Amino acid sequence: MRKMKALATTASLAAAAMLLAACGGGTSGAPEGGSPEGNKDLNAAIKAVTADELKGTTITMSRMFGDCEETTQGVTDTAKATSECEAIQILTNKFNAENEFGIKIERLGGSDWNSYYDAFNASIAGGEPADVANLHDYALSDYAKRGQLLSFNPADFGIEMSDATAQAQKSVQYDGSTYAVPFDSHALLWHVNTDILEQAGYMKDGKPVSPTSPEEFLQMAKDVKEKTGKYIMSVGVANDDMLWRTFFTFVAQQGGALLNEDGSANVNSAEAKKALEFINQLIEGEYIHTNADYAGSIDEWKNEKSAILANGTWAVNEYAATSTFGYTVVDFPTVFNQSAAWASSHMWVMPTQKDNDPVQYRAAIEFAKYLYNNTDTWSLATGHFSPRVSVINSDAYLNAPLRSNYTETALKNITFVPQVDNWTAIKSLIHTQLEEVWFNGKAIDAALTEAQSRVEQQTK
Amino acid sequence: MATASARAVGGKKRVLSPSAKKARSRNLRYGIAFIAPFIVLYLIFVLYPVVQAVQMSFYDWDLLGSTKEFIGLGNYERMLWGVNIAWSMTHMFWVRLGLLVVAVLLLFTPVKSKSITAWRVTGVLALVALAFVLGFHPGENGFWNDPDFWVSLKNTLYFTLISTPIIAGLGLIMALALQGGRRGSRLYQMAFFLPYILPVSVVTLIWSYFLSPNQGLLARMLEPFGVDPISWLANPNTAMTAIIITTVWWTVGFNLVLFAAGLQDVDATLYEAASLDGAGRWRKFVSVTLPGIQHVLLLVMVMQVIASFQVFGQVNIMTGGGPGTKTKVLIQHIYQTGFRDFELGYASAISLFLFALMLVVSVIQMKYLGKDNTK
Repeated sequence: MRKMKALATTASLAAAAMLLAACGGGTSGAPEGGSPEGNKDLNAAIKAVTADELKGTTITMSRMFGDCEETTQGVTDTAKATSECEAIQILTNKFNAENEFGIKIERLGGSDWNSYYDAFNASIAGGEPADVANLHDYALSDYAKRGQLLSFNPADFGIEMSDATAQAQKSVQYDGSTYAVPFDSHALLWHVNTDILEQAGYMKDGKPVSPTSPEEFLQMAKDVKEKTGKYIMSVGVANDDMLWRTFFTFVAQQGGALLNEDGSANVNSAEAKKALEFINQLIEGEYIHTNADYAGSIDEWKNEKSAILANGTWAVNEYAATSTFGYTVVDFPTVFNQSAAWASSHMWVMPTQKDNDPVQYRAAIEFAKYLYNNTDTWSLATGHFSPRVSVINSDAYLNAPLRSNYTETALKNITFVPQVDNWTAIKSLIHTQLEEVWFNGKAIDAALTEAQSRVEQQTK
Repeated sequence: MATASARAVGGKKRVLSPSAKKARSRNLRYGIAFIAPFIVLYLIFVLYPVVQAVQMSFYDWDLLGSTKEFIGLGNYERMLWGVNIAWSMTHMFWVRLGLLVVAVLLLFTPVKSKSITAWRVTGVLALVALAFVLGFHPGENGFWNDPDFWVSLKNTLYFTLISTPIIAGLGLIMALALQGGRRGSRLYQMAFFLPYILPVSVVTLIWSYFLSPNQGLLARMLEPFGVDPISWLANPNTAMTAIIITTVWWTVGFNLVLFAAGLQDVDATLYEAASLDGAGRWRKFVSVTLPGIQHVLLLVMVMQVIASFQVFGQVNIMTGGGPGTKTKVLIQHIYQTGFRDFELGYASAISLFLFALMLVVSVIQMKYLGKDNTK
């Protein structure tokens, strides 16, 4: 009896402990952020840091792009990079080995882009962010408006921002101040299995024939299916953004936008409806399907079950090097009346630190400057677009394999997602309703109406 | 019972001798000293955050900024209410009718015997209140303020309802199968327990590879039977099943060990006596084994339900809550609200709701499973 009571008590205590443990956690307060006004003195101090003071400084770096320690340890030859991860890691190794100040970079984490922000947010909330970190364009304002990033004048540190494209220059600014150094821009492309398109009769002069209207796209999908038995396109839908990006592209190709200029909701539009109807036609015709996540869509395409993979610029070099079939890459086709393709960008920021040490900030800026000066290496090693006009126009870039196939995207099509506060949450509200259409058969009108209401609620 | 007898005999407090008093005081000091390290950590890392979470739930509390604004019950209203919410008799009619039927059944025996406990009255009132509350729904052009909360709650309840009996039941069946010191039973116990010590990242990696439609072992195994590869994690109809299977594989070993320990405590002479009385295997299981392991059963069920309510890691890594919101669960919603959307106050309010829900379910379990039927 006593034993039974003891066990019952143990059960009660264990249950209470587990219940309480479920409730607690994640309660650390945010650190005090810097302000642009307070930055004036700090910027002067950062600018005044000497080479002697910088000697031997160690700074921390937090980034996305994954982990590839094993293949890049000690490697400083950027020509050996075969992926995003290897490219950034080798660039970091090279900086560690060659920078004149003896600055050392210690990397904190290296997760995928979609889980990166959780760790980054936790590090800021915990008061210990890295000295230099990378962000997407759409995330900048979330941190800048909270005073969590250092604002600085790029010219003070010899960063030639005038060489950056207009879009890149705009993307690193918030409320008139510069908070980041641009690193690249990336867009949605068509990665093509030329063998399958050849079989379907959609290759001409060694190049894929892209559709120029929704009708042509549907006809092409039908032909591929009938002649080869394959899907026209593999696209990540479950737990992935690729079909969402396709939707965004189709809206932009009609001259539409999901948010108005003033940031208010414009989801329930004729353009959005048309884009969704077209995607539904592709799904209903079984030309594409929704049962693939990001990795699954790539596997499917690599296993030659589809002709085309909808994916970004970041995979061009990797696929060119590893594909076991005829591979090429082309602009995402313009099927509506104006050219556009979903795009985003990477940039480097200096999170504000508790101790506001000018030497640490300066070391971080020197590293960010180095990365900006090496965007040619980054873009050639990965497939991304450089944010620098001089690089885009350089012979080395223009003559690099496959780059000429998607210069149209680099020059004209690029359409960035809106740079507004809390875009991730807004995008999630819209994406959830699109998924309701794709997975649960919700009526398009009802989904767009609800998405509109929710975004209005979020942005009011 | 012993206490009751002592009271009956003595009728008043027992007077302790000075040496006994001294010994008791010393024991108390030692007791406090032994539990102090745990209590200190418990207060700092469990109770304090809980108190802080309660406070935060009344604020618009930004994760990254230092600003916080008192909004009273605003977070709770956002969680539980919406725009143009209506109440109707027919909404979720059958579920609500079922709840009322259970309430009536709970009253049946006490009314017959003309004695009713406060617990039973509370239970009946709670069921009636729940039946009433479930009548609320978005009216014309109306919507919940946070539909993801309701979807996550539904998915969490579904996961708990399906996975808990499977994990507990399978643990018991495996323990019974390995009972009685059979050859190799220790080895099997160890093999079944092994997944439990793996971190969630390893478990999810193993299962993601295993279930992969293009590279996975399962697709290869099913190929000879003419079964086309299934995108288990990307298909809305199979994603939750895949999560449940993964969770069962991962955690069933722990329950197996608990049940195996419980089965060893069952008095062997009772089985002999039952055999002499002509009891079959089923009768022995129902009348000897189950009552004998009732305390373990309670422990397993309570802990398993709480663990199931807190499902997160495998969902976050394997499906990210998708496809769509098919596998989105409450902890993931809390996590996203707090860490992605920076809304720590609202995330605290949802976590306190989950706490209250688990508390109610645990009390019900303790009340009904904890009854001592061996007297």
